[in-house]
Amino acid sequence: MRRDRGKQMAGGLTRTRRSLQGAAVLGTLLIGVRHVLPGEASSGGAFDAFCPFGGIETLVPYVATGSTLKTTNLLNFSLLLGVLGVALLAGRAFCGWLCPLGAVQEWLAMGARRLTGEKRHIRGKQSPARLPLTLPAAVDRPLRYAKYVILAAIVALSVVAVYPPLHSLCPVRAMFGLRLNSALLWIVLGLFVLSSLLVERFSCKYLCPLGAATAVFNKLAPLRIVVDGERCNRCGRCEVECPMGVAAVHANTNDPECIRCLECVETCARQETMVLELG
Amino acid sequence: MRVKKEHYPIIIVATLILFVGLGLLLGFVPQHGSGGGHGAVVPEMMALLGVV
Repeated sequence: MRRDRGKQMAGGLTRTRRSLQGAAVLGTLLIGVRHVLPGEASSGGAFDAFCPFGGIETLVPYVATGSTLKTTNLLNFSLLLGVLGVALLAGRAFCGWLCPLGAVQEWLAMGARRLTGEKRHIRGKQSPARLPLTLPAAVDRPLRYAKYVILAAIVALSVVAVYPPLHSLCPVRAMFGLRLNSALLWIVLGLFVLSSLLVERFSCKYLCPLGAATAVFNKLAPLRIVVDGERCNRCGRCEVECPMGVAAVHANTNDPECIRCLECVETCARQETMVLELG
Repeated sequence: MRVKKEHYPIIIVATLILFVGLGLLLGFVPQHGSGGGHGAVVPEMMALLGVV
């Protein structure tokens, strides 16, 4: 079987993904900056109005009353539609490629690896770093359902809410809103950074309600990763690189936890073993 | 149908732009003020969101 040497290093697809993630972070930061500038605070809606999840938070009140929750507006629905459109085609690809919070978590995990013993990242090889940790399966598996419970709780709370239920606890607002005007937001920011250093993509794995809403599309989306079972030798390189810790990646490419980052495809050393197929 | 992995980012970004644009075209546009948007009841959009 022919091996592709280029895949031993950071692939072009990974570089493209990191560029897009960087653009998403920069764009979100600019929205935050725009809202702390004098006289600009109310222009174009509040910071929350630029959040796709705000569309879920305000959907039920809007359908019931014809009015969105405070700090959200109709733009939230357009952004939500964008994320759902991506999910319809490619599952949780938004999480893997375009979510600013996902990007920051990956960067923090990279930093944690560097600080705790990894000198150079070798693709597909287990890192010698002490962080981030991998939680035991007995803890990890039940915790993965927490995000679905959070999603259900937020939708239920939105019925009686005035502000979006996640407004005071939103890690995106804490990270990019640039207005840490409550102790609670500082705590959220601290916990977010700490958890991301300890466990890679902690928020995506266990907490993110938008991830929960799009996870169901992984089973239905027509653009998917397909593994040639005869070529795959179960080497486990893809599992090492998976930021979501999906077990047995070669057999679980449609797992609800997969964020379609394609790091497994980039890492696979056997050509034409992991490919993308539409339909 | 096989899709080249190099085309994946373009497909994702184009899909996002397309659907956000669709939402904007249907009237779900940014509004001034601190939120509480109302008035642009677009039944087709709500039906689409419901289907999704």
